[in-house]
Amino acid sequence: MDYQITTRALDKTDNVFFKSMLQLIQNQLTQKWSYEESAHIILVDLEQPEGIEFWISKPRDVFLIAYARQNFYRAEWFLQKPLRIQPLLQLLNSLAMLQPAQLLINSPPITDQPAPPPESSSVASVPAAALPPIPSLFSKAMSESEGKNKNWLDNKLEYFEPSIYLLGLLQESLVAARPRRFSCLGSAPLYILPHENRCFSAVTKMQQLDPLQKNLYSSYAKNIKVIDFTPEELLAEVQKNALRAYPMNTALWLATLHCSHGRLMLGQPPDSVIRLKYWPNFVVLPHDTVHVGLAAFMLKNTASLITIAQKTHTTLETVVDFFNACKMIGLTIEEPANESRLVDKKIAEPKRRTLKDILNRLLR
Amino acid sequence: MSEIKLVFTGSAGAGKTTAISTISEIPVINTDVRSNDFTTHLIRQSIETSRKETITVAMDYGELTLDDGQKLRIYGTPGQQRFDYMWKILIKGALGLIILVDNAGSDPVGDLARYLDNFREFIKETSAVVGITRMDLSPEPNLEIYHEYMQSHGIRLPIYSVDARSRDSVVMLIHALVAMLEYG
Repeated sequence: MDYQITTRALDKTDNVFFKSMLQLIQNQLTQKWSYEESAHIILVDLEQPEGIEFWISKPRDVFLIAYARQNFYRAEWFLQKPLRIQPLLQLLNSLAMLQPAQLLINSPPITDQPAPPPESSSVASVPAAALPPIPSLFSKAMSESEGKNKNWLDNKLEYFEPSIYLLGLLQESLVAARPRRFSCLGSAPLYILPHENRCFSAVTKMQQLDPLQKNLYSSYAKNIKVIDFTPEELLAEVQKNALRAYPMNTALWLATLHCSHGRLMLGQPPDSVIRLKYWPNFVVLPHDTVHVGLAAFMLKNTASLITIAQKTHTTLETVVDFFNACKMIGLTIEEPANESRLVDKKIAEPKRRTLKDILNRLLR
Repeated sequence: MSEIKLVFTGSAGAGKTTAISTISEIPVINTDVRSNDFTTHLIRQSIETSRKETITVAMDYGELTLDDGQKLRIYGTPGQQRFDYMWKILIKGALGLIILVDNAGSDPVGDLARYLDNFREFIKETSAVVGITRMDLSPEPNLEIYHEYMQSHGIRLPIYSVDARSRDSVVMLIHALVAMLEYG
């Protein structure tokens, strides 16, 4: 069977490489593949604004393959940058094993939620669907006994090192008290004014960041352009561009939520028990519905991350991200593992349903 | 099924009536009267008539129909302490409590303390959420002060700066309340 593939938003060099590589590997492919200007199977560069826009537009009747350095969009089919022969071979041969109907009619699931970076480059370069399914951290945690869970996070999770992300740049700038501008391709820049504990952005609704904006908060530091300002210059920029002011915590919170990817911060003991010092000010801290439930539980209970996940029926990744964000802005209190204190509160099912009905009605 | 109700309480002028009206699907039924009608020294002291021309002396009432046809009844208590006999009647059987505090009042932290104390048993059994209003007009005391007060009294409740005129603000309070009832 002959397969046709095209590309979207790849830069000129990558496109030329891709076409050449496709020619080069023809005799190693299980099926014949050709490059066409228009095809159902499309390799999309998710590091280009045009590629991101195309991806999130969820086009119908096409089969999309994400092309980027990291699989931030949880694409089912993913090819890691830079282009290399072996991963491309694996990708195309794996695709050729799908039923033609699957390949040409069904689009892959698309999400605008960034995903954790892959564990290693070798994993990253293999199409995700060709790998055995990885059980979620939560289901894994649930399947283990409490005792075995004790060191589970420590053994299984990669750690999260803020310094390699925007978050590290923000922290460094705060420590050095340097007014700065941070920008990366396609995102509105973020300005910070440490001595006023404020930041500024053209984004009017931090609560509803589009994927391009999220890109800045999840970016690696090496991809972010940093410009130093004097406070006067920065405020002049703010005025000139009519930027909106936010508390510094908003930027720290967002940067943590978008780059921790379910990993504990480096040096964080995985078995400590945690509670919130006080309620997060969600008016200025962009959040999802699930975060409100986590805040409620963590305000009243002192518990391990795994217990929090179990009791709130939330994935462990989400709990860890929320914990990291709360810790980053000083909302958490940590205690030794044996200090766990849970409020014995049971809510009757009819009452739970009524509460959900009220919320659904109000949030509609 | 027994009555499903939420109760808004808080200091006079904190915006209880306004908050209820943002989520009620019926015009809020209230027993507001012009505050100029009140001549007692006590009431004149507690209300700045220039910014709130009416005060609630009995209660507010609003409604919201849920998807299954049941009515959520939303009550607002009278703000003045002299009408506190109404508070116990209104709070009986409520799902939860929303306390609004006017930050531009003469003693907002004291107001919060009073409402937390008055509804102590109810809060212990169910839950509550605190909304601080008019922080745009009077930024002090800031939220940190309220947090410190609650921490020092071992009270762990959600607290927000809210605009009682904004539906989003009121929904955010109720969202936090629902989360506290379920997980807190």
